[in-house]
Amino acid sequence: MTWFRRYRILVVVYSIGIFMGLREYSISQTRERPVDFLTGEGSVFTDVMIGVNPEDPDTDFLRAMRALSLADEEGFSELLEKALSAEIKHNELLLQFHAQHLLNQGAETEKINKALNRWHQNFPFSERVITVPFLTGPTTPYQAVLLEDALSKIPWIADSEFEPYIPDSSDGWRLRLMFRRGEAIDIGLLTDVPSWESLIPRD
Amino acid sequence: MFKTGYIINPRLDMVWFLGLPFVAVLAALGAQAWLPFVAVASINLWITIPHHYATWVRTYGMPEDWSRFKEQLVLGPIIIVAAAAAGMVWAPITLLIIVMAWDHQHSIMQQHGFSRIYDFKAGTGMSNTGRFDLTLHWILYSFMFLNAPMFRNLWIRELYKLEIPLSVQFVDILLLASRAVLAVFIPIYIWHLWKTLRNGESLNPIKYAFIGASYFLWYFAAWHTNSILLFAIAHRLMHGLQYIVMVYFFLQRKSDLGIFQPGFWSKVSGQGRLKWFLIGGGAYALVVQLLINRPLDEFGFGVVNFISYQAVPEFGLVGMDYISGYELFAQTMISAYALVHYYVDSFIWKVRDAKVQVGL
Repeated sequence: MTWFRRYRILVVVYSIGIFMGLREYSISQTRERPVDFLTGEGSVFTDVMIGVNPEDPDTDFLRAMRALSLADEEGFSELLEKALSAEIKHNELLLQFHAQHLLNQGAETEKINKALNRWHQNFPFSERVITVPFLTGPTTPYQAVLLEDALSKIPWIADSEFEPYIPDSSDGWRLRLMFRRGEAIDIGLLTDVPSWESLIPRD
Repeated sequence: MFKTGYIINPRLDMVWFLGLPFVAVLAALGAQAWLPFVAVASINLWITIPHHYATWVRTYGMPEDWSRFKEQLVLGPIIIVAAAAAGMVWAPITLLIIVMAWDHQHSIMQQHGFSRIYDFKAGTGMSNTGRFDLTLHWILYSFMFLNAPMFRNLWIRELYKLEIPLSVQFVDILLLASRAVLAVFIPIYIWHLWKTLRNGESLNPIKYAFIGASYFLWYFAAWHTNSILLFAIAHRLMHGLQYIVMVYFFLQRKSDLGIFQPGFWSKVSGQGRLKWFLIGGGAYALVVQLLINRPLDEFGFGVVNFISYQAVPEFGLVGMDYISGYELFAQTMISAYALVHYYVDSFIWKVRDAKVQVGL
C-alpha cells in the first residue's frame, strides 16, 4: 500500500490514459485521419456549438466553414467577417482562411495585406502557407530558375513552390508561399502583376 | 473568531498572493488589446518554464528532498517520458487531453495548497477543513470549466475527436447539474465555517481573500472574453509567479535555519542570492528553447524579432529563412566565442602581474 500511496497519481493518470488511448487507437485504425471540424463531417459538432455557444466567434467560424462546404459564398463571407469583428487573435485557421479567401476573391491588395499581416503578427512562427493562383506557369527548367530567383528577391517570401493544380496539366497554376517573419507582407508584389512572367525582371 | 496568518508576511502576501491576480488580469487585458497572440508563448518562456526550474531546484537540487523522494524522482520521469513518447506515436489526442486535464488539476491543487498553508500558518480551521476546501476548489473550478464558453468549445471538441458526440440536450443537463452542485455545496461550505466557529476554532480571513482573488482571475478571464489569450496570460502569470515566489521563500527559510545540507539550492537561494535564482530560471528557459529548437524570438512578445535577415546583395546573399538565419547566428556565435577567448586571454595571463604569479 505504501507503493500505491507513493505512485497513486501516476496510477490514476496512467489508467485514464490507457483507457482513452485504447479508444483513440481503435478509432485511428478505422479512420485515415482525425475528424475535420471545418468540413461537412464536422457538421454535428457545429450544430452542438451553435446550441451551446451561439455568441462565440469560433462558432461563427465553424458556421462560415459549413456555409463554404455548402457552396454558400455569401454566407461564408458574412459569417467570417462577423467572427473577425470580435478581434480574436487565437484562431490561426480563421486568420489564414480569411486571408486566403480575400486572395481567392480578388479583393483589394490593401485588404489582403491587412489580413495577411494580421495573421502573421499573431502567429509569426507559423509554417502554414498561402496559395496564389496563376493561369500559366513556367514550362522549362530555365524559366523555373528565373522565377525562383525573382521570388527570392521579395523580402517577405521565405520559400515558394510553383506547381500546376493538377500534375502534368497546364490548366492552372498555384504558387505556395511561406513567409519570412518580421517582414511586412505586400501581396501586391505578386497579385498586381498580370502574369508570372511579369515577376521576372527584364534585365 | 478570526486569526490571521500569512504565507510570507503581510506586505509580500498582499503583493504576490492577494494583489497579483488583479495585476495579472490587467496585464492580460493589455496583452489582449496591444500584443499579438505570440505573447502567450513569451509568457510561457518568461514565467512557466522558469517555474519548472524552481521545481527542479527544490527537488533535484536539494539533498534533503532528493534523498527523501529519490525513488519517485528517478522513476517518475522515466515513466512519464515513456508514456508521453508512446502517446505521441499511438494516441496523440489522448496525450493532449491528459496534459490539459492534469494542468487543470495541478492548478486547482496549487491554489488549494496555498489555502492549506494559510490555515497552517494561522492555526485556523478544523481537522476536516482541508477536505472541505479541496471540494470547494474542485466545484468552483469545474463549474468554470464546464460553463465558460471558451472552455466548452475545448472539451466538447476533444470529446468529438474521440468520437464521443454530445447532444445540446446532454450539455444543457450537464451544465444544469454543475449549477445544482454549486448551489448545494455553497451552503454546505458556509455551514462548515459556522461549525468551525461553534467548535471554538478560528477562520483565517486572508485565506478567503486569497481564494476570492484567485477565482476572480479565473472567472473574469474565462467569461470576459472569447479569446484564450486573456485566460492563458492571466493564469500563467498567477500560477507561475506564485509558485516561483513560494519556492524561493521556502528555500530561503531553510537556508536561514542553516541546518540543511547545502547543495545547488543553497547556491541560488538565501539572503542576497535572489538574482542567481532568477538568472538560473532565465538561463533554464533559454536552454529549453534551444533544446526544442524553437525560435528565440518567442521571448520578444511578437514585438522583437532579432533573427530576421535581409538579403545582402553586396555579398551576393539572398534573404534567409529561419533555418539559414539560425545557422548564420550559430556561426556568428562560434566566431564571437573565439574572439572573446582571444580578448580575455590578452589580459589575464600577464606573467609580470603579481597576482598571476601567485598561481604559477
